[in-house]
Amino acid sequence: MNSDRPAAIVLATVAALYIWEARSFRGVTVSDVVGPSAYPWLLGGTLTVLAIVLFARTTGAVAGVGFWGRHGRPAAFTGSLFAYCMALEPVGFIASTFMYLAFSHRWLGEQRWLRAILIAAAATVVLWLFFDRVLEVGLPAGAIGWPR
Amino acid sequence: MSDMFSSLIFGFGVALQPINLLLAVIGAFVGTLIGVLPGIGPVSGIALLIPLIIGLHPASAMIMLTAVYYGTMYGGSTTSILLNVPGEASSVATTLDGYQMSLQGRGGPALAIAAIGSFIAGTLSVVAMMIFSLPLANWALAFGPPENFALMVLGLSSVSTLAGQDLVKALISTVCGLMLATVGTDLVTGINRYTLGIPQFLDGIDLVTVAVGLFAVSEVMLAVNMITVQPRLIPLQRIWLTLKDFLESFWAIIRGTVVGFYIGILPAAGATIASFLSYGLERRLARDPSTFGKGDIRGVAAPESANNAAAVGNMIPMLSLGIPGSSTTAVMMGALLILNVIPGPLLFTQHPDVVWGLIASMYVSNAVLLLLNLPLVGLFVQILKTPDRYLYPLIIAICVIGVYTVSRSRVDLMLMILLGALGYYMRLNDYPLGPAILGLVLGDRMEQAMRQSLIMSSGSPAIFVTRPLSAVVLALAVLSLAAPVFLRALSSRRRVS
Repeated sequence: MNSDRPAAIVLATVAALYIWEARSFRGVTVSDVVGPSAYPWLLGGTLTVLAIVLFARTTGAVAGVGFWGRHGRPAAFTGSLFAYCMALEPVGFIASTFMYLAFSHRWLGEQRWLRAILIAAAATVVLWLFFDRVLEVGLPAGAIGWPR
Repeated sequence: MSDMFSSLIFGFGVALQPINLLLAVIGAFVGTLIGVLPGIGPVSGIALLIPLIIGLHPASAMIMLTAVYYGTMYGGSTTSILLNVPGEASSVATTLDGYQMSLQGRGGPALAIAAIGSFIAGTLSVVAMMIFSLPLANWALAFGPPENFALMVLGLSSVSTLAGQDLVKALISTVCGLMLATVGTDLVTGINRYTLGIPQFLDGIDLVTVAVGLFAVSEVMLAVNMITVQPRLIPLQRIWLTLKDFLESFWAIIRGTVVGFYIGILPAAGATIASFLSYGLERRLARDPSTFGKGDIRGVAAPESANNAAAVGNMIPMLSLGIPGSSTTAVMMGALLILNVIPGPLLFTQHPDVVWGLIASMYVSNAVLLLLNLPLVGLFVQILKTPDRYLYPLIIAICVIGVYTVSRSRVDLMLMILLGALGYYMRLNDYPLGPAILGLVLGDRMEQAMRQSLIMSSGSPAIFVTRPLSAVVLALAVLSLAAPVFLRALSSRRRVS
């Protein structure tokens, strides 16, 4: 389906909200004659014009397969990534990454659970050793804590 | 000229320090890996490394990032030649003859000419860069805020014109990037704009989060929809090429270098356009063009030389004018800004160690990549054999670590996912991603230049058109936007008649 028209409506709404919010930016100083809202007005206005052009030039919708038929896997992928990111701090890097990798390997086509688990475990340990111990970036330990 | 050589010797002093040499080797290796792997391109690859370079000396940081950039160019060619899967867009032209050479059992010579052509092109382009950068920076020293504003408008408009098929969508992408840059505390008045009450947004939207979300996460989202079969890998028989192969490719390399370098200097017309143009040029100049597309070695030598020369040319507007010419240089410029180094004409006087260290490190990176790539091609091929079902989740885990390291906040991770979904939509609907990154990097400085200009003119926007240089640059910007529309209208009228 051609999504240009819905996108144009979303963009015009974003532009309107952006300009609406810019109205509240007050703080003109003696030296700054235009203040903090002029530039956002300019950008919001430009986006509005572009949204109108996008809407106006688009002709009727093209038929296609349903949304989930085309975007089901990416949507599920986004869901699993969301769960991983939410679990990262409370559960800790090691446990959350291991679970994310194991389930993802299996979901993306690994036939055997054992292999998915072993590869996920190895990858998690390598990532943890490299980033937390070698580069010392400080990954979240979570409730479980770090192995000693 | 003698000044330039003494500066270059000074640069080599910086680049050859053991720590910088080590960083160049690591950068070249990591870059090649990034170029080889699907999912992480140069933009998100360099963005992911930004948290790791904080704390390094700016010269060391830039040396490493430049080596990564170079490495991605080399790495992209490996997958193009052996798998018919271009690691980067700039390697697409290489697949045309490179993969055919592999099918004929000449994958080794194809890889060798890609590496040697890239080495020659990279080295010659760095010489040209030295000649052009300093005079351009000296000229730009005379620019005031209106000229800088006009120059940024020109940069963004050229990027929008050349980045995608659809000008309106490219402009939407640019404006969205500029809008994202307005999030945070206004530096002049101190008021918060578009922070939605979220404290993490007070310092603005982080470049790493945007680059990783828009480029890496969206690419993996696109890829998980297509995981089906592993591409057919052609085994390598011999690596080295014959003298005849080299002589046949020599002029293609030189022509590719010239085309690539000049195209690279133009905003947005980066490595991808350069590689296709040089491929087309070789085909046109060939006595028998029918050999192209069937495994002609010149069809590998020309685009590979051109994309490396363009990578060097891309650096010139960033270093001399502070205007990045591509998404990758925009992220590199973002890294410099994070390290409190402002790219532009003053960079040559304020941070000569960064500029000349970087220029000298390009020679070093070229040599390192030549020495590294041919012996390690077997290793990269093994990495390529990793099934996608293991590779993509691993890439995502690295993205999560990279984004989390920047701010240690869940907010940035959520933003990364949101931008990933947005990038997925944009990719499917022909919205180019590059202009958004450029808008984000240039947005702050563009607003600053606009406000400073209006202070100078007591609020009159006429200042942008009454100052000659600013007026000319703005006219060029309008022309760059109008030209494609005009040409399209002209060609459709011709078709009708």
